[in-house]
Amino acid sequence: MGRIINISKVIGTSNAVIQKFGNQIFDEAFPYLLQGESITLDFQGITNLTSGFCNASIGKLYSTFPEISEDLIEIVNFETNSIWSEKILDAIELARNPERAQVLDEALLALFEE
Amino acid sequence: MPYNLIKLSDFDPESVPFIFIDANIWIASLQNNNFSTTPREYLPYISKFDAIVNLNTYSEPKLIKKLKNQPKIVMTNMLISETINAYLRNIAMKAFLGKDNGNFKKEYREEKYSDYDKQLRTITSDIEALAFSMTFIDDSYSALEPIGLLNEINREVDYNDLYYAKLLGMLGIPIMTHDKDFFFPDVTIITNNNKLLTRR
Repeated sequence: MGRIINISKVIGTSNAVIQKFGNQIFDEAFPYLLQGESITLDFQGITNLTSGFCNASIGKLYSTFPEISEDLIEIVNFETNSIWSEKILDAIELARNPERAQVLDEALLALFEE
Repeated sequence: MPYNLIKLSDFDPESVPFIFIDANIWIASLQNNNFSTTPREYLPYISKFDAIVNLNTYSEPKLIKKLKNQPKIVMTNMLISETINAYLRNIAMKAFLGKDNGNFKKEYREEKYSDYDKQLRTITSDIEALAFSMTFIDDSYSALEPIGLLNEINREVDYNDLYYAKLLGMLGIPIMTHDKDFFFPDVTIITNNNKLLTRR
């Protein structure tokens, strides 16, 4: 188990629901991964989770460190085979698939055309 | 009939006890994947959405007391329906089919191998995750004089937009939207849409 990052402690709430909080987790983990140190993202104490949070934290880490993230990032204390698990895996999958991410981004952008 | 439009950057989330946020902003806030590094129209809205939700994560009474308001996001039956349907049709299906103009029912919802079920689970779970920031209101349909609404719609006035404007105007709740057609009197509109702002 690497450097433990307790998500609820870093964001100061049990609600991992906004991108700002996802960015805080990214900023916390970034220096360790940059040094090649392993990290453990601990969901203990989290009560609510959104896709946006997962994309801004886990997804962004996987896209920033595509070569090492698989080996250096461990994620613990969430139920496997749950909707949370799906959101986490989706964020990782999206980071590995920039073409799909671009399609989704363009679809979002289309909602905001003037 | 007064028109009240506020530029998004001038809006202070603490200034209101309640706010209505349209379906497109909900979808962007829940599903943005941080793919783009260039400015996007939806990013300033996500920042405001985040700021509003962030205020709702405060649980310390001392912190809450310091706030002017802890703004609740108003949720209606129609808004939940719009958010889920718009997400599945305009985002999830497009990503699955890789094209803009698929047949929603045939090629996506009823397609055995589509990711419809997973995407439905995700969007409903994402909405549910923000329930602590919401207040649920009834649609007051009969109070809004339904026949009068029917007489007011035309090619420029969408029924749902008109309904929201009447309902939220009646309740004194501002609406955050980027929809250029959302130009109604007697309700406060918060927007970054220049076409809307220049109509002031």
